[in-house]
Amino acid sequence: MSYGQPPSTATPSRSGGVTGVNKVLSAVVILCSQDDSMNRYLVYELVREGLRGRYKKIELHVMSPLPPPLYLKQVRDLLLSNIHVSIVVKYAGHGPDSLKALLQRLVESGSSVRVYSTRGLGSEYLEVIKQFGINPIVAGESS
Amino acid sequence: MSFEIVITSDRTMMSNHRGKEFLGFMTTGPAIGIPEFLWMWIAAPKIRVDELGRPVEAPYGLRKIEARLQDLGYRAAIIDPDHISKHLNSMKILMIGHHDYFAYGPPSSEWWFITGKEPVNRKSFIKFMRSEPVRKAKERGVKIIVGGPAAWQWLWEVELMREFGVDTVVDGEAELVIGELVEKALNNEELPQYVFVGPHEAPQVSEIPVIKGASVNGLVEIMRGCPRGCKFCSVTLRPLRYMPLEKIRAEVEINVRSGVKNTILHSEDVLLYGADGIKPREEPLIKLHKLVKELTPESIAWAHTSFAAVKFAEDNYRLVSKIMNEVLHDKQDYLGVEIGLETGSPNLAKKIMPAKSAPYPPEKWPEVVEEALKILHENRVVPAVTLILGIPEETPDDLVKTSELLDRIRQYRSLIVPMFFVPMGALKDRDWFRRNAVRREHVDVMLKTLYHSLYWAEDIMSRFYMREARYLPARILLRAFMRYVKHKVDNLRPKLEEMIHS
Repeated sequence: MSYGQPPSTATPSRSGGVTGVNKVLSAVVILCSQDDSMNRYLVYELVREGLRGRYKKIELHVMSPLPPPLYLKQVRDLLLSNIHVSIVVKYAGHGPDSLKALLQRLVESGSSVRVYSTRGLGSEYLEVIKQFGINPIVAGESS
Repeated sequence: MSFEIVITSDRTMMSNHRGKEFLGFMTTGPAIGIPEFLWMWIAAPKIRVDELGRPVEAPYGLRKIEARLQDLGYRAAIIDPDHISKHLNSMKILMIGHHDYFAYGPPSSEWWFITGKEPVNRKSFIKFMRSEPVRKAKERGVKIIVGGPAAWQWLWEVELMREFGVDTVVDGEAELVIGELVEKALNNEELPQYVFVGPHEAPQVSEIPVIKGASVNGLVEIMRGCPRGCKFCSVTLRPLRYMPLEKIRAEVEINVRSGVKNTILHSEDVLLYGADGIKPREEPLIKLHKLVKELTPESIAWAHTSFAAVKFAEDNYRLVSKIMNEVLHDKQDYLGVEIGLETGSPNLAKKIMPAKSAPYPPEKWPEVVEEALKILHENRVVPAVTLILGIPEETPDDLVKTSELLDRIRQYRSLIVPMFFVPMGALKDRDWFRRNAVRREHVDVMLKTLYHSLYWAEDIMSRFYMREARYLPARILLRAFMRYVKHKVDNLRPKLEEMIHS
């Protein structure tokens, strides 16, 4: 006997992963220095994406001079502020070459890609981003 | 038999706490008044294992992951932390779960804050992660995936994450994502560092597996999610799911077959099982209790309920009386449960938990609490009640209201545990926090709860709890501990009262 179950939200795949959840946002976050972290404006931008319901999952590709897993403290505020949307965090290296390789892969895979940063990006980064026709979102003050 | 996936935790989790869940709470504090080994002996004794090191009872969350992985066809098993070296040759993935890895959750952080000493759960976990078998596993390329309700705490311990070689942290209901991660780990593909599982990836009831081995003290999940929407709780965003009776039956049967004699019904609010929104219904609750009573050799406990549900259920259906006096009466003489009181102030209740009193208005919150405690007292339901102190919105007047409510509920059998809302930074600068955030009204409330709980703990132990002969040594030590605490506080009291009245 069952009592008032909720409607289906996902379809399991063979390995137990979710298929059919096709609204994934690939968010590339560029943190230029070791002291940089996602400020409240960037956290707000991304949490808002979850609240709008346009994306069921955010893949967060973090570019940072801090090695894994230490860079996680730079995105901690986002992870602790969000309860609405799935977030998968991956380390994406550091520097324009790593950014180019990452964007190449994401664009080729057909993902929705956005690039975020907390401060004015150097020309070496901007050049790479321009090659892919993406407008970076530079939000608020650096913290 | 060998396992490619070993699931485990440290001793404070891998224990049945002598069959008494409340004893498990001792692992959230530092050893006080007695040596640490004795403290651990009382609170978290080793559990019986088979020749492969598989424990007879294991934490419920780990059992769910084990079941999911086995259902997906992986060779996975829960292994006691003392026995993981037996599986070093076959192990590819080490999975670890915990309620409170680093003692940042309640009530560990309060004990840490008050005593200035690291709680034993944190010490035990770090010791386990630095143990030789874990180190060797890492050297051999084993992937380490950690999860459970305290997963977020790793974000505050990234240095330890690096030292221990943790590959992935999974935060949230993992049933639908764990298979994909395992597949990646086994194929040596890149693993994500952190996975937060949102509500859209929460499994449906049919996707939640039945456990394959017994859970600690017979804990069985009867529902997931909570409709009350309190500001301080993330459970509330998850979809509400009631486990069908067949599933509950299957899990209780597994526990009983493994020799576990009791059942703990787990839910954020047991009385909302099969409810009409936040209004309890008689039929599903009576059916549930009759079923579980029929299957369980000894007693039944509830993990959590709410004061509003207690009052509504009793006022409308005499439901608490019926469950205790018509269903469970020949089985047990009391029933234990945890309930959140949080505040005695209607104003604060309105701000932080407007639906906690529903279907009654938040203005009536203190009356709801008082009446519900009376119902529980009269029906021998013994609640461990939690209070939250120091919430950012709290005012001195809110604390006075809480203090007044504590005076009115003194007559009702209960343990009341205040939990301080401790910002993470405060753990690192306790003196600053004590000087700037702890008000004299907090001290007043804390003293009242302490004397209330010490009084009723004596009563509970002499009437209901740990009365069997096998508990005699633990009972003697606990009584000595309670007297030690009372003696210490009595000595400190003049100083504290001076502080309250200054």
